[in-house]
Amino acid sequence: MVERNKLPSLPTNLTIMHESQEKWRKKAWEKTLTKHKDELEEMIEKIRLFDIWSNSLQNIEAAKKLIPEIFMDGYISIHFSCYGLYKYANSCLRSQLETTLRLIYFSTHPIEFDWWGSGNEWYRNGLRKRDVWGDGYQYFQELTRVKEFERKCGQGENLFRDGGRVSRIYGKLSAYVHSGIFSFQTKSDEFSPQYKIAQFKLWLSNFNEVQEYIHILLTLSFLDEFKNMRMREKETILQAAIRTDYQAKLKEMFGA
Amino acid sequence: MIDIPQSKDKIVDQFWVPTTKKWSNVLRPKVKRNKKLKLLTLTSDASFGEVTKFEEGEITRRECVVAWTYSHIKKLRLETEISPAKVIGTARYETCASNPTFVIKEHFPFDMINLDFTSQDPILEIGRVEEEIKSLEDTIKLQSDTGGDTFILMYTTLLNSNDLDYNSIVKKSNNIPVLGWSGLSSNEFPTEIVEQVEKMRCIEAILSKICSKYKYASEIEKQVIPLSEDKRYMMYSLVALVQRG
Repeated sequence: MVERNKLPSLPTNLTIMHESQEKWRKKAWEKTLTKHKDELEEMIEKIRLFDIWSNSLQNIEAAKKLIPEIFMDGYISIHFSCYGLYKYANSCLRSQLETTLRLIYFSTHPIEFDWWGSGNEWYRNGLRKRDVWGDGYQYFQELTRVKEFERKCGQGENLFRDGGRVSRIYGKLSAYVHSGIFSFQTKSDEFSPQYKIAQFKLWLSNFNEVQEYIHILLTLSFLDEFKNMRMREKETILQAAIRTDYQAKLKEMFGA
Repeated sequence: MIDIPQSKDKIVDQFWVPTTKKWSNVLRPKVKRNKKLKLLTLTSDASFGEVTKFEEGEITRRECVVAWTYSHIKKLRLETEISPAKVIGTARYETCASNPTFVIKEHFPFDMINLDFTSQDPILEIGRVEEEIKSLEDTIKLQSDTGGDTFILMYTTLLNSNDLDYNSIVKKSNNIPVLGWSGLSSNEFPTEIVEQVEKMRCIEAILSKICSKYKYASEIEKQVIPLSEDKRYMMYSLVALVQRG
């Protein structure tokens, strides 16, 4: 009510939007929080892991700029999903994954990072693929530690190779970005955003998968920085975000 | 159970505000009594009483405040609470202060610097206070490099049962050479300092020497609040008036 008083008198269409929005936001938010408070708390714990990365990657310019954005994509994804805006919640996850891939690439390409930062990606015109990481994420597949990790993975567990898990989730999330028919926010009989358990669960599963791959990729790409973290911080990342079999493979790699 | 926010409220009211008020007159001579001091504060989203109290005491105003917090989610909340103050950070201050591209470098020098490490949910591991002291020196050096001739420096930490490694502090400080400075002596205190009182004496002596290293004179006052009945945990706070000597 206090907020309302601060607003000036609104024109007609905006009044309709404002009043309906106040109601559906409140309804969806409260319903989601009531039904999923523990799961949401876990999600927030997962995005808090970026504090640890932010701390450890202070000497990497790209990390200083991109980690806050990676955090924010995760945060806003949770925010949208609590309002029943599942299409946009999923779109944020693709953006989060993409920014992580950029961070990994730019951390060893500071000149390209400067060009990218100034909006001058002239060198991409000469590339055969839209992204610098090439067809089928070739760039990442060639990274020694990713290769080593993938060698330890069984059938269907690869991150990139043979249509691996990162490639699959990226494709799945792209459907939300490019408005694939199944990703639509609206249905003929469901127009206003509202809490829907099936959509929430689907988003939740995507969220967990994306966080897991992000932390695996960061660990592999910044293995020395990871090794230098406090034991408690390393364990927090592994336990909170990564499934047991992947954890074991990573531990083999950093000699725990 | 350690209650840092409640103890912080006490320290803000009983120590930080009166001491800074007293010394702010040095920074604001009579003709500039209305000048608002530029404050860097290491603070928390849940307890940022110093910003409010310094503002109420007309020492500063929010436009002149740069706040540092170590976590993204805390930054979001803090920004909402204390805007238009600038909120920077998302990593632990002590890991960033020595970085050549330290993000708040451009905001230096400050009139008041409040390095309250208890606001960062301290991880009570060996070497924590030693790292904090190293960042105190990084901060004083930045003040010196950017022309900060007179300022108030506040340092607050949580002392627990971990020993203080004097040799490590000396080594870290002596790794930053300054022309004409012979370095901290490694014999002044025992290598491992166990007693709380002795730790405080050591920290005060080191702070004073670091100020001398950068050609500052310092006047230091302190306050201690026990955080547990057995006094194993203590909130220890220093306020120093630092002036070109």
